[in-house]
Amino acid sequence: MLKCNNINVKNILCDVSFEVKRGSFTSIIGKNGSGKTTLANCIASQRKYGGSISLGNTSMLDISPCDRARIMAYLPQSLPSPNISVYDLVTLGRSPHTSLGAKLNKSDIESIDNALAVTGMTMLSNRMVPSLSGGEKQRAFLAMTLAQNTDILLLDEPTAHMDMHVAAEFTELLNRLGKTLIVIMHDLSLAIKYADNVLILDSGKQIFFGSKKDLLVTDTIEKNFNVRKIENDGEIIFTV
Amino acid sequence: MKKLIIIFTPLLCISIILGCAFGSADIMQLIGNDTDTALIIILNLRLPRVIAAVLCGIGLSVSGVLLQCVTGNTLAAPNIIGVNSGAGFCCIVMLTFFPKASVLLQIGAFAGAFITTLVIVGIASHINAFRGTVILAGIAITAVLNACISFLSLLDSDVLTAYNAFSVGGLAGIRMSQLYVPAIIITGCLLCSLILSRRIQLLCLGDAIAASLGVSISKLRIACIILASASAAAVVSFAGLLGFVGLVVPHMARRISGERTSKLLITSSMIGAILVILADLFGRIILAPTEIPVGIIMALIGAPFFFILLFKRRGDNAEM
Repeated sequence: MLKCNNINVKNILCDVSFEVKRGSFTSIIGKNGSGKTTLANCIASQRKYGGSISLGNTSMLDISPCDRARIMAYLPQSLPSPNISVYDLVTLGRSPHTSLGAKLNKSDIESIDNALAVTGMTMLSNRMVPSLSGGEKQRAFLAMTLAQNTDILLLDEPTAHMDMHVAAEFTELLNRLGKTLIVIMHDLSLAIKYADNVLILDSGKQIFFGSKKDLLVTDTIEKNFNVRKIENDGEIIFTV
Repeated sequence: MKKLIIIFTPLLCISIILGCAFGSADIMQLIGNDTDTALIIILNLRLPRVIAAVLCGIGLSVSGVLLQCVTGNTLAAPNIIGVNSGAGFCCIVMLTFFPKASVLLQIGAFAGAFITTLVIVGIASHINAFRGTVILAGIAITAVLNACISFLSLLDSDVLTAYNAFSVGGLAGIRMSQLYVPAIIITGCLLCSLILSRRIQLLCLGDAIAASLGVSISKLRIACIILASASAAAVVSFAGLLGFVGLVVPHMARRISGERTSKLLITSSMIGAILVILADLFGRIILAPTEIPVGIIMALIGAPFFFILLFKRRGDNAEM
């Protein structure tokens, strides 16, 4: 579905190539400064890069910003706290589907209500965004991207400011969405638990891309992140 | 939105009635004795002045809201990005070199404000770093233009006197014929801003999210800056360099209506209009028959009010 071929960004990324299949969960992991966010910005067409990123047979750069917004939603790592209600925030997710000055129609309202329900934010829809906790804010923004009704969700460290329990719940929620997910994650255990495919970056270079199964038969993670792998009730946990 | 309109419309109507009823001449006494004179004062002097105050309030507030959204900086205002200094520079050039062409002063001020903004937008786009760059470029251009204004004002004391009146900002002696074109520009800018409001709101979420939602960020920013500049330039053309409205009013409106851009534009317009009418009225009656220009009253009200807002923000997480 989404194919990245030899992505290069001077001094940051070097020949990164991978393919994302429809409906799959791809985790991108790597140490700080390994180029994860730069790669996400390239995929979202928000910075210049060498190589190609294509969707089917079409280059992402040939797709207009509005059409791109109907295909892929991108949520960056640091989220703002606009002084608007959660409902108004989620409403903004319909922007690529509404023309200038037009009112929201029935299908827009349905998408918004559905996004709020799926993320468990219906009860909080009248709350102002700055009054939300870190986890609630992340869910509110996820609801906004879900209202965008795209096939692909590209998320940059969505669980960065959450405690372990909330992060696990949030990742479980992402997994249930049934969308094509490309998620940059810092929690190795969660990244591996839910991923179909894993991309590992180190200093801008791709050191692994493949299925979770293929990754776990190697000691790539242990070597690169200096962690130990522990199996607990069939669940794999990485610990220092 | 309806609630805000229901609350502010009566307040605006009361302000308009007060603006027409009070001044140096006692209208109530004249209505009993000399109705014709009373009508002439209301229709030819006070009504144009109140309409000018409404246009000032709407134009500068809309400009302030747009600039603050586009730059992501709540200190942005028309005078900071160089609109005022551009208008002032053109005005003093006209006064120095074409002193008899006072009719063209209004057009010159508008052109100066608008061209300065286009230059700043051009510089910011060329550098390809928009948010802070617009403000920094505005400060730099303002410094250059202010130096030119000071130099030209040294050449002729008559020019300096005429320029001082323009730079303070006031609505004395305004005629209805001066307001037709600015009214069309300001109304047009307000309507365009409302049409673009949902897109403008996306800019407040940051560039990455706005781009992800399909916004062509640089085009939208340029469109907003042109609207903000045209709106402020239209005000400058008939009221001079009126300060503080574009800075203070969006802050007041934000406290009442939140940050939803459409609500903010409507609330700011209403508050701006009410504030300028009342400030102008205050300036007319406090030392009647002598008038204090509305620009001085706005600065006297605006600056302390702004300090109060700043102190209230202490402890908030809001970024400045």
